[in-house]
Amino acid sequence: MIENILSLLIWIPIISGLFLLFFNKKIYILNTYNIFINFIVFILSIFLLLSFNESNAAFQFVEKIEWIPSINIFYHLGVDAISVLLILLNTIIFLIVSFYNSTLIVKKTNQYYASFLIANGLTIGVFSALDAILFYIFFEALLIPMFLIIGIWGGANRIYASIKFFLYTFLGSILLLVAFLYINSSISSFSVISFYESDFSLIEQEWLFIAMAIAFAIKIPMFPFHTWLPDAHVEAPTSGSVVLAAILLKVGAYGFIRFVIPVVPMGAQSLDVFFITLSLIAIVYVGLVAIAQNDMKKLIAYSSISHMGFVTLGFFVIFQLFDNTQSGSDMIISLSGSMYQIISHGFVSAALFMCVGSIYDRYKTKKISDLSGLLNQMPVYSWFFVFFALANCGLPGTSSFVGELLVIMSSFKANYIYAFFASTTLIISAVYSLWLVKRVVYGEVKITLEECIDANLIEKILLFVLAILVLILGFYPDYIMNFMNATLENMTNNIILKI
Amino acid sequence: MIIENTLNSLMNFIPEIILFIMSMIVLLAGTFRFSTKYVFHITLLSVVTALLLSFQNYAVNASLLFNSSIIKSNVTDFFKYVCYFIFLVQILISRNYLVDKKLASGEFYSLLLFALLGCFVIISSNNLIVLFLGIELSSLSLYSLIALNRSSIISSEAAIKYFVLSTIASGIILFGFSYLYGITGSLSIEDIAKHQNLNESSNLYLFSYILVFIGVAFKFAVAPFHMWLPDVYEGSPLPVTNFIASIPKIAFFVLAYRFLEDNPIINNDNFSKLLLLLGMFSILAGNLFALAQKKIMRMLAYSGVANAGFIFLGIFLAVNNNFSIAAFYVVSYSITIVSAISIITFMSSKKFDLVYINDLKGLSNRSGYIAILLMITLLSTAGIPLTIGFYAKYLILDAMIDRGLIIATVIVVLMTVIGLYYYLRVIWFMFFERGSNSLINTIGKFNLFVLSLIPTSIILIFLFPDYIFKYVFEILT
Repeated sequence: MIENILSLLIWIPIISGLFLLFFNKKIYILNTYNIFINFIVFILSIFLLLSFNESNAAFQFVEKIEWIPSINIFYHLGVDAISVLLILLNTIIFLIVSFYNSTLIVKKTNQYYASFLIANGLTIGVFSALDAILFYIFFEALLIPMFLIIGIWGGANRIYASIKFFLYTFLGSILLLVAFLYINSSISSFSVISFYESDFSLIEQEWLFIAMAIAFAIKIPMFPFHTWLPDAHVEAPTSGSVVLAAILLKVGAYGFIRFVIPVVPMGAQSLDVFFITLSLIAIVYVGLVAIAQNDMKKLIAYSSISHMGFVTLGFFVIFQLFDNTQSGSDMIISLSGSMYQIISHGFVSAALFMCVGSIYDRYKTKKISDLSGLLNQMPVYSWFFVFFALANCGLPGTSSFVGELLVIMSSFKANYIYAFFASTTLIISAVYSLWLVKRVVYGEVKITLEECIDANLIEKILLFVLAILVLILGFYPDYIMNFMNATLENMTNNIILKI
Repeated sequence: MIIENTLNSLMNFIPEIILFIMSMIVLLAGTFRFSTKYVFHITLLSVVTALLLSFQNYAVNASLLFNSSIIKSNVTDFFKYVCYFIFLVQILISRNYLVDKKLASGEFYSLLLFALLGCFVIISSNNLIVLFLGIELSSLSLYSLIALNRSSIISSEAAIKYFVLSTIASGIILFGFSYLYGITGSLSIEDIAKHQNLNESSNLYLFSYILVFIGVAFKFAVAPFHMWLPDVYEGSPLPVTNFIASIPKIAFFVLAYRFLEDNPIINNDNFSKLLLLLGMFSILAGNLFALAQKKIMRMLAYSGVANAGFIFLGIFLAVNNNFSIAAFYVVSYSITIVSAISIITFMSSKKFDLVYINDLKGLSNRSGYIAILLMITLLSTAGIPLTIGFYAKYLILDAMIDRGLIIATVIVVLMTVIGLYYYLRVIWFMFFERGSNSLINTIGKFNLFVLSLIPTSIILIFLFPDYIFKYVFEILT
């Protein structure tokens, strides 16, 4: 079993999700089934984490089967430390979402759960595929369940949002396919490992970089490709938003660290200032945009874009770090800061979207101007809401602090101007997070509900678990840092060799 | 010796002969006002018999029949199997529609069989005269099939348009044939293809090839020769549209293959540029026009124009006799479009015609299964992974990049994104919108089973494509 653990992780949720499409039973049976499958996947991913040898930088649990030998495509799976962490993040979030879903009442429940199960399997596929075309297939197929989740179960303007989401991402990913085909036509292999050994001229690398970077920049999303995200978030159902923010954005970041930077480092190096500028614009400008929002979901969506700006900043400063110091150790710190930010943002944004979703369920509004004085009616909720808002603005002791600190530190070594702009986020994110809390949680009660229910047991447990995770990651970052170290070291060595 | 040869030829051509005899019988049965139920069963029986007999006759090696005017090889057999499969699905699905619309008659089925026979003759011909007979047999049957619904004005309009334009195209093809015969002194396509270009006649040879391929482009509805397609799709009865959209395309692809196989002209700069430009223009025009359509058949017609452009690109990329890419595209597109039109046929009934895309609003609430089938089909036409259409587009893009046509590839790719929009529009109407479509007919277990055959195979071939790839690559390279 241990050899095929990745296949199990991918196909158990997909097949059980497909089965669920034709299986419409009583709601509690569906709930139990859904939670059970997600739990199995979660246990398997824990098992993967424990049996993973983090001192070995090579890909592990490799499965390589001939899939389409006539056009040189393999069913090739394998994980390194980055993938293992993201798979774990993925299974935790989907487990939480499956519990959260059981508190909701939605139409076409079986199809709703099935979409999430299929999305779960496909995301694990994205994180573990080592064949570029296999990666592309999972990457693209992931659009379909998300498209349906937003489009069928979303809000009033869901059609516009889902179409924009689909077309935007498809535009990027088809350019990615062209880049993969180009690489294949010169090295005649789709394996990621041979991608790493490829050797392209500077001009080729630049074009390949542009094609691939647009694909992942749309997915992350980076300024100015970000406009689909607020729409998608506002219209998506709460669980959809959680998955979108916690998982799908990370697929874009994963693409950068798996394909763009190691495969075409020279192209990335020659265009890095441009991308750093875009990241800084995302951090500062999009942060300012977030302040002005009146819709809570939109605010958190813009704050997500701003936080993902840190991730891309951490990815792209490594070239200037290397120019300044000629050693790989700073590059590792910068990359691990970005990775930490990815994981931390996964938990924090998931929790925030869950809070907002529950407020919406009770008050039927997401407008900040309609809400006030939540503390009086939902004290437990308000406590968690304040906690995650603080975590969102990077309070020391929470997980966001570690990632942001590492990235700001690294950008200081690269160029102090970058660090100056990056650190304004400490103010800006505090403004939007705390002002949100001030307007929504405190103040006079505006809407008095007949019977206002505070968080129910499941919600309390879920938010509590997320809070604990955020705190553990904030106080004890060492485990994850050490876990990633060998992989990132190997990756930076490869990059240094190629530039 | 002669008798032996003739007997052998007849034995190898027996499926087509049976089709011919049976279409006569069906015609007679129609004349004597047999119940249409029997006519339908006779048609079904004759197609199944012909299919079984051609399975029995399958041979790996090519053989020339009837004084080498007919060729029979694994290529022709493969395409004929695809045609049989498509045809069976079509007539099974269209039965209820035809009865509802009072179109089911002996004439209909016999003309349909004649059209199929004509396409088979095109597929297996190795002689210009026989080839032209095949083209005319299928076209003439189709003219009358389009006009079959005599009470409908748009039907007659479509028939006239198709008749006039198609005749001109046939004329152009025939003009090209006459030059080819004049240059090479032979009617055999094999000899013509192997004809070494002599310097003084090479331009004329090229010219006649261009004439033939303009005719082919017309039959494929490659832009700018696509004007007839939307009107014909809209005007003709749905089962006839279903036929026009698929089987003649396969037949004319085989014609193109036969003309270009082992022929250095495909490396000729002017000729290959013509194919490339036609293909690119068609992808551009088809996708852009399809965006503006409100009627579902017109949308599918323009998407057909775009896909025909891809087929031309596939033919353009067939250097070193590698026609497998184009062949895979043709087969994948044909079965997908047949699935789409069959689903639309199935949903139309006595009281209701599915004309506008708006009519599909809220389909998933009424019949989720049909909506899922149509979604799979449309995603395959758009080339999204998890469907066979992905590999079809993938192979074309891959070959284009291998040829170094990066800019053209990027244009094609951007057009695919635009194309995706109108497929998604249908999907969102079905799944995301509410609507009352109580008139849509979705009853019939057996029909549902037949309808799900193609979507299921679309997904299964996506998961396990290697057998198909190996087979197609082997026979067509």
